[in-house]
Amino acid sequence: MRILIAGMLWLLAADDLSWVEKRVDDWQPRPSERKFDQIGWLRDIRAALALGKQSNRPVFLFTHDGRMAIGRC
Amino acid sequence: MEDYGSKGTVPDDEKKAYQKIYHAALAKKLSTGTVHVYVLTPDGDPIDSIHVAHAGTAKVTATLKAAIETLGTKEGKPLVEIKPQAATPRAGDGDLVLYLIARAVPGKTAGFWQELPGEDFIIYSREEGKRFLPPAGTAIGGGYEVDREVALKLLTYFYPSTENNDVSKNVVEQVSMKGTLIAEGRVRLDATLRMKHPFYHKMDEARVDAVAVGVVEFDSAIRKFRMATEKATYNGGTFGVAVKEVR
Repeated sequence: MRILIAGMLWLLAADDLSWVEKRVDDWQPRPSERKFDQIGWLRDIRAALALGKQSNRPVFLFTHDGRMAIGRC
Repeated sequence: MEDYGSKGTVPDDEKKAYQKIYHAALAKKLSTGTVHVYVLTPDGDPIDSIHVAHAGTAKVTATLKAAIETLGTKEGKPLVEIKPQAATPRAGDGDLVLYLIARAVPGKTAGFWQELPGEDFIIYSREEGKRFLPPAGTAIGGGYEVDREVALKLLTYFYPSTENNDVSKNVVEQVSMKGTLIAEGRVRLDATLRMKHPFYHKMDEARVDAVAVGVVEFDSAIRKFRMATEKATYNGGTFGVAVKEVR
């Protein structure tokens, strides 16, 4: 009987996975972490130089290692 | 900048465009580096630069304002479309696309870059995705092992922001993912991982230790996938990983 109850309790506990969903929601990117997306980026220096020349605007060039778009840098 | 090296993937013209700017900056005795900000004239001539360590909001704003003043730039609308940079990749019909976010969480602050989360998209074919699910005939409460290859395809991205994002340099020391059918069409996943992940591209002793729990809902295919670390550490610091299906 004890084994049966213990088994049922484990199954109930196993099914209470609301904390997983909450963490997944809580850990999504925040607006403060998405400021990078408020800028229109080109991924090609040649295209940026052409656009700079065409529009007579300066070019902001950011160089880095890794993948900035996904924060893996 | 890996893409701009001699073995990099960008076209030669693109590499040359970068080298021209880099050498012009050097000639002008501007600061230079691989992780760097440069401000160029409309003709592509560097007029200012900032080392990333100094490129905070105030410094960047001041540098841009100075460039606007020097060049007499007129205000105007953005010339490039503003859109999310981390877009869900294209995938085939029936593919399972998992979106992963790895971030610093309350705990010990050490051992990795804390400022921004790292994100990844992992694509499973329909057949691969099914390997998260219980074998036919599994009773409610019954357990099974998820295929190591399938588990690792996801778990190898369980690391926080570092200088190295080449997962082929990870060394997995222990991995397991156990599934339990907890209700009709609902599975619990319990994963553990111990993995070396060099902070830089050179092997070191930095390790991930992670325990994660997932919940998967399915019928003929996976309809919902959620996973979060219960606890995870890397290189002396505490981090968390969350995964959800986006397709």
